[in-house]
Amino acid sequence: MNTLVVEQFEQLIRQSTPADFIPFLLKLEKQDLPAAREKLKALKQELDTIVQLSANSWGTRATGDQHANLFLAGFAVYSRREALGGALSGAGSLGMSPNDRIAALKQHFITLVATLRPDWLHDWLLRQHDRASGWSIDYNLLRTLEATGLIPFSPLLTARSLPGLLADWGWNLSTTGSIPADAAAVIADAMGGDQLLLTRDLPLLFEYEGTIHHTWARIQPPMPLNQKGTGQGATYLRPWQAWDQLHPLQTVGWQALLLRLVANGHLDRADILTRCLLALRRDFRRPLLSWFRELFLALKPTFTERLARQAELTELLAHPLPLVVNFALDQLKDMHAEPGFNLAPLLLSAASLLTRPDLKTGLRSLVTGLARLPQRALAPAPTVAGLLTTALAHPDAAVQKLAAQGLAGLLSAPRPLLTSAEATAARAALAQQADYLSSAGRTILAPWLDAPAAAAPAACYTPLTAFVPDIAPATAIAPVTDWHELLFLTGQVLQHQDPAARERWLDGLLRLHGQLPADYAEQLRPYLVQVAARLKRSHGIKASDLLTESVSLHDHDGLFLALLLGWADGFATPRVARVDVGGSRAAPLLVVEQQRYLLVETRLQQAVTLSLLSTPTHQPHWVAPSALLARLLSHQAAGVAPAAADLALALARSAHAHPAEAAQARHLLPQLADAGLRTLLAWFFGPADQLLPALPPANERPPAQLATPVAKALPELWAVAARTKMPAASFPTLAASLGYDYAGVTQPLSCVGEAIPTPAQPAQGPAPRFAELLWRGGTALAAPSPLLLYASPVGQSQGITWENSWLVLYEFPYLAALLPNYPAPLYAHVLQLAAWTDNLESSERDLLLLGLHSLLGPGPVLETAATAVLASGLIHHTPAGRNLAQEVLLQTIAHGRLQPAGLGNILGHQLASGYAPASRLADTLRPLQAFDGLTDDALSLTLDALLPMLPATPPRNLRPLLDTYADLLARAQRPAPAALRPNLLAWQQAASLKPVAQPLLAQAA
Amino acid sequence: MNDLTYAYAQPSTLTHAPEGAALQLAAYAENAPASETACFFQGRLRDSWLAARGLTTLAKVVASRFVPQNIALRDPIVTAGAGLLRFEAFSSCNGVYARLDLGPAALDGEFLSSGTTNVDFNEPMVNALSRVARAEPVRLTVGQTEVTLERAAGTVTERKVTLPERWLKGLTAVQGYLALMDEKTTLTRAQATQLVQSIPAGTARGDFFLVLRGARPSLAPVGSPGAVRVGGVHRLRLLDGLLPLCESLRVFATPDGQASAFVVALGGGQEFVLALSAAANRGFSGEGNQLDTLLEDLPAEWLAGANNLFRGNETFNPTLFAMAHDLAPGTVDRLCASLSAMGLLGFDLAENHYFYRRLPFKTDRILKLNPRLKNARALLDSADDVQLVGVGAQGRTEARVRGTDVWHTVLVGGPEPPRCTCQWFTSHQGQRGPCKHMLAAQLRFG
Repeated sequence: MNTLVVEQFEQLIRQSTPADFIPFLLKLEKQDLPAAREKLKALKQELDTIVQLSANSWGTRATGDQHANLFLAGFAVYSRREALGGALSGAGSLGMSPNDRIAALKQHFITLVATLRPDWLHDWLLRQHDRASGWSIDYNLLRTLEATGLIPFSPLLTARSLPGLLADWGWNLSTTGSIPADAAAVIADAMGGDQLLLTRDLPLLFEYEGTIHHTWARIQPPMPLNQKGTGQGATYLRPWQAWDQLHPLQTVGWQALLLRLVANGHLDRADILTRCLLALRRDFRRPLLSWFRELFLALKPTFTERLARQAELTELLAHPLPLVVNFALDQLKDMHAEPGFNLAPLLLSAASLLTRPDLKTGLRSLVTGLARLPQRALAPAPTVAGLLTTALAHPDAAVQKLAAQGLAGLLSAPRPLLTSAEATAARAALAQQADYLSSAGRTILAPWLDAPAAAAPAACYTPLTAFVPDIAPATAIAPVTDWHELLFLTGQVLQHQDPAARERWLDGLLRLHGQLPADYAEQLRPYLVQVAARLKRSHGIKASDLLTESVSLHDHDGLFLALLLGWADGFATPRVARVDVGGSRAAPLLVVEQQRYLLVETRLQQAVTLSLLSTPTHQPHWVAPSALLARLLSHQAAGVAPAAADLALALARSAHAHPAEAAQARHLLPQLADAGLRTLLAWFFGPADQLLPALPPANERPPAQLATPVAKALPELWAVAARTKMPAASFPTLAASLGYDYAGVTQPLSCVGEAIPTPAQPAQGPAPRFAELLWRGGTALAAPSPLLLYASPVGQSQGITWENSWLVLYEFPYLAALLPNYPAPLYAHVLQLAAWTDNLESSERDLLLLGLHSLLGPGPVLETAATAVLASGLIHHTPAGRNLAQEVLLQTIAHGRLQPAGLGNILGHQLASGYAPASRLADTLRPLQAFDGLTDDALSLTLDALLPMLPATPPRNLRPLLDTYADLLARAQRPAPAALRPNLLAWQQAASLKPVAQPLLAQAA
Repeated sequence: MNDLTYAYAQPSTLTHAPEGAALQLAAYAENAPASETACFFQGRLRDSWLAARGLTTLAKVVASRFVPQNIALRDPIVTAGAGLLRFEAFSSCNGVYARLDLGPAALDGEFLSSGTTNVDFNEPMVNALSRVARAEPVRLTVGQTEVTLERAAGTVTERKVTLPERWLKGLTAVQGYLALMDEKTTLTRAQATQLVQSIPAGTARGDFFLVLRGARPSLAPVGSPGAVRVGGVHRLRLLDGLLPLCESLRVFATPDGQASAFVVALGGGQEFVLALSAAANRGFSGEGNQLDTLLEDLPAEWLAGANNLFRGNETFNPTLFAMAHDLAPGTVDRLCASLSAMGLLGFDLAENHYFYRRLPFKTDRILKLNPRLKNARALLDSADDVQLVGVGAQGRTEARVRGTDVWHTVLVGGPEPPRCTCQWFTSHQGQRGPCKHMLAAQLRFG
């Protein structure tokens, strides 16, 4: 190894130009290569790594020449393995449009590889194409490499690089000489002289997925730096606008160029037409397929040319994308009756096409064409009858109607087209499709449909009157029984967001205190390492520091970590109180949760192992009344006063409506010494319709705080108990007892989204894109007492930022688990944050999804806020929101939780305000109909309430919603309500709505 | 761990001639005997159009990726034997497994030899496949005559492809899942088409569940009794070109919902299987669902004997095999797991039997391809790294196993599933196979 050579190698890379460096590289001896290779890697690391260059600037240290030298040196010193392994990067400059520097680099590259002839060059180029999506080598450079025998002809590389040739032409024409008036003609003439390009390379564009559809030549002289703007005031033109006026930009795309080449006879028109159709068979991306379709149409094929390609066109019917199938059907629709047209492949393909719900327009023309074939004796009537029957199951009403008309035509033809046996078979097939028929299809085919033997009474939906939670051994939550269970539950709670597991863990900590192995802290260490890894990003903390340093903890997760860390050091240091829970604005109820964790920490410090009153006993988060009484009595026996926050949450989670459990609780009640609490619980677990008793009025009473003893916090506990038991009732006497009132305390929570009036727009200004709703919390101040669990959320939607949504997003599952009886305030919060306008962002979407998710399963009838969350999901702009809302709707109907009129009112209000398009709701509801009578009835009741809320001027695209409504009414076997008549009268004036509004009106009358 | 590099003497081609097209699939078998003719099948495709649709769908699977990563185009594996040609492939991300089975009814020709090989799937061939017309006669050749002679003469290879070892790992996990699956439902062609249309737009987040509402299949974002969990449901779009052509679609899933499979009956002896992992970001290669079964070493001669037997029979049902040879079901499970860990066994859902792949019989692959098992064995090398704490009720054994800077508490044995305090178990809760600490404890005290 020659040290001098390596030093010179480094010096040249650092200081020379590529032109000076090339001769040195060409003279490198084989024995010097290993050392040079190592030096090159070191220099690349030093010069090519992105570093901070100044306070606000990041980049590499290398100059342009140094970059070029590093790149070129790789070809001289790297082996195949290193080059293909990724060491040789920087290929970008081999693909860029030619400016002088890049052109010089390409020349140096050719000089170098022509002499060194690396046998891996072709593989390296293929690898670069794979790695850098969108990059391709300069086409002319590729041809040069190929012509000099450095690489073999590669169809893949050629197909990828050829589109860029047009961009190069744009650059060349813009920078050399005068700009031609018709740049496309110049380019086409030049390409027309290149036979290799025309015959070998251009056809590849139809065979490989490439960028031909979005590559253009832009021809315009470069604007000088000193170009000035022109004009003044309203007529002022910016420099680039002025330059555009002086030198209008010419844009030449591949389509225009290919059309020129065909027109000039350089390309064979027939060949290009066929290639377009063959390219359309591929699984290319949609824009590229659209481009091939457009090219085919731009060539304006004659009928004869299309007929000659009937086989290729018919093959396109198997394509998965509707754009291709619709195109093919459109091209084929006027050929069916032609003598030279072979119908057999079309009929074969039609069988699989007619079941595709994504095809509509094309299928309408296909069905129309099919229906005419038997009359012209072009196709066997039984085959066509079978196809038309298949189309009856199509979800598109127009396709179904056309198929029904065609089938009716076949069955009722004056000169019978079907034999008696064939007609019987057709009727049998028709009977199988009867369930799928819309009202229009059913009317057309009525003569051939069997009359229902005895019209089964339509199912009738009625909401639940009272909800009783399932308190049974099967739903009981098993407490943690041993140390190992608690240990592994810790890991589960640490990594997974599971409120039920966290409650079990809290309870397990208390239950098993004093029964842990001596080395329990050591066994917890793996989890501390995981905690440290989680906190590391923000704090740079090590596992060993966790127990000795003050660690900043936040929110619900912080509460858990505080207890875990305290547990690991024997609760020597109180940590829960230091957790930042961000104030009530960020996440309601979090301060109450903190109080519960604080209670656990205190009890563990004091070795008191009493369970919390609010620990759920039954799934998902219910506290059985008898268990609550038993726990209160345990507290009493142990001489421990219950904590007000814990008791308030226990009341909120109590399954008070369970008759047997409530009776058992009442049976235990006399043992409770606290008379005030006894009175409260006697009412709470008493008859459902028992009025709130008269409560003693307060005199100058301060609102109870979290640490207030139960005796002094009784008015707040009464407020919680009353709203838990009777969510919709008014409690006027509570205010006197509390000494204050607050939104949601004496009166039920009001949750109405008001449409914000659109401000008058300037005549020239753009129309507002989205309507907004204002969800008012009814108050601008925080609740006087944190114990008021059902206090209305503060403020209104417009004052809230995405950070609020993000904070609540993580907390919501835990908070929803706290209020299983009446989660309305949380839903009001969700509405304020995530449902005030359409098209909000992902954090708002995720929050709404959480809200929707919490509505799944059995539970009380949805109140207004919960119904509004469901409504917002049904018209949400994301498919994820609508999909989940569909499930919620089905489950709430199945469990009797839905109030159809309430949902219809909210949706009607939102659609009327322009919050979301009516067709979106129709798309959401349509898949839910026709599989269950109860669901059909509930949906029709919802639309009964919704449609009268809409304005007399029909919202845009109302037809699909009205179609769905008409189908639902037909299934529910009842007419439209009278309240809808005024709107139907107005809507029938619109041509698009008349066909559906008129029959509805007739029924309503 | 190096991948296996293999090379084709020439690219696969589909050439058109007046008498019909000829599809010649170039092959490279890792264990092709130098003296044999490496040609597995020569003959005619009875329904070439349908077979071409199946092969292009397979090519689509190979080219797909559902997590951000470089494109890693790989070539399918084809197994010829028992009168079938089975083309198998994974997506680049390894979370989708696809197999096209061409049965006796689909083929009109002769099987010159049984074997497993990689076939070259290049872009021109995929392009040509898409151009196969209905009723166009196509001859199929898998492998090519005298390929070994050309190799021996040092013929310049047209293309080199790297067979990723994770494919072998994926094959192990997939057959493990497929063998556990139950049939959940069968859909008609119309229902199958409705199913593909009900796939949510874009990339689906979270799990979806296939349910039948009336006669209509739907994909719901929440589970319900009888629903089939389909993780990363947008991957089902790979079948959008095939489902409108199918005769029926059978849906299978594992009892724990960790994998699902869709068997598309195309008619004419053709069947397409698409298996999906539990989530789009979970490749089959990382599942480790067979690690428990691989724990216990079987005698090498057992493995060799079973290998020879299966190699000869080409297919077998594990239950019938156990009964015929008077073997305990657990032993057959271990045999199957060990052989599939070398990539030798696949599972045919429709026939409910294993089929044999003629890949090299390399027992070192069992450890090489299962790093968790290898690391567990490494823990056992030191006497102190796996310590017994005690044995509780019903044989529940508590152990301490050395981790990075910590000791993990591990519970194994007894009726409960094993548990560990490590990050892997904490994150996956046993859904992706046991961690190395559990394996080490089971190996020492199990």
